[in-house]
Amino acid sequence: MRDDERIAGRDELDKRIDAALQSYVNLPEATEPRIALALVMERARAEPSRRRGWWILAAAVSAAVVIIAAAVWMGWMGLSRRPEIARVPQAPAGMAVPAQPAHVAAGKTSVSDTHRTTLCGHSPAHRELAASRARLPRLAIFPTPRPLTPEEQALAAFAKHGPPAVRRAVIEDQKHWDDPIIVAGLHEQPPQAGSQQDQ
Amino acid sequence: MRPEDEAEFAGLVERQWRFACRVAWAVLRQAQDAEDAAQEAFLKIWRAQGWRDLRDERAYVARTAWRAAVDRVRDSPSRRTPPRGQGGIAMEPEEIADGGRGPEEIALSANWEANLHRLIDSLPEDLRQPLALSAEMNSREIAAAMGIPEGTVRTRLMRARQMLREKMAAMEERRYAGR
Repeated sequence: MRDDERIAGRDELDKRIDAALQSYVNLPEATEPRIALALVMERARAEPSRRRGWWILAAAVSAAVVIIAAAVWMGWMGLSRRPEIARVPQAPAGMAVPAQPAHVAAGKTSVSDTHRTTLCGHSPAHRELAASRARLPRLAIFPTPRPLTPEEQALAAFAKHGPPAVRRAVIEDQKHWDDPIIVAGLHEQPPQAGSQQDQ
Repeated sequence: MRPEDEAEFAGLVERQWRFACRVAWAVLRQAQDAEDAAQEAFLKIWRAQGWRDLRDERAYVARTAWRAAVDRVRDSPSRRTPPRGQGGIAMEPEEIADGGRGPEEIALSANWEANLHRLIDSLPEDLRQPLALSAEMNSREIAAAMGIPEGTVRTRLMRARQMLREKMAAMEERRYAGR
């Protein structure tokens, strides 16, 4: 009897739970489906324009990235093509070197820089020429630049910083490098017969 | 998009809008949020053109609406708090289990249905959601919508009902004891 009552009570509770669940999921004041459809379609139609906006933004960002990358690459290529012969050679030990300008002493001077500095130190026409040269694209250099050998460095340093008189003498001497070498004749007296043996 | 497609989609919305709202409402318990979630669900269906070749459109809509509602809860957990006057006063399960002055005593003063709504609201979320959805769907559909095994759904439904029965029995006893 008690089991029957318990089962009946449980059934009663389940019925109440089911009834409560039905009302629990009833949404109060739900929008009409037609109005909901209009809202959904409005949002759906707004989608393409938003997507197009994203595409434009993405394309702009991509273009900017490509331009920046190209600029960086071109700059890097320009730096890497700078010839290494542009260094100022050091004079060999023991050679008297005249005082150098500050920027040369700092080791920052290149051949092109030196040239430009020299030009800039002159007339405005020279300065304009230097500027126009600087604006020109860098061309490929042939033969491929290579570091100077120690002998070449010593010669360049001498040509740049050596005493003028000595440099002129060397230049004059270079003009006659292919002249025939004349060796003066030897005039040796033949030994006198028996002169030393007698002694 | 062809006009026939729009007409098909419109038909789907007409047929399933209220159902989607109820599914979202079962999760969110906020009318406006539930409608927003249902709109979001239909927008997803529109984007994916998911209304074509549906074998079970009701289950598909239920799954999409449930996910949209759960996403809203995840984005803002405060959304699940049942408002006063609709789903009732939010109560923790511990409060209900408490023998002292608790939700049962509050519930005694109102009618059975409202009290039961409060008790359902106070269930743990993993029990409450399948129980609320069970008013609209069977266990298989709930499992498909929630992405869990059907056996798990049945177990949770049993546990949820068992908890509700216990609380209701306790309420009933107190009610008679108070007389």
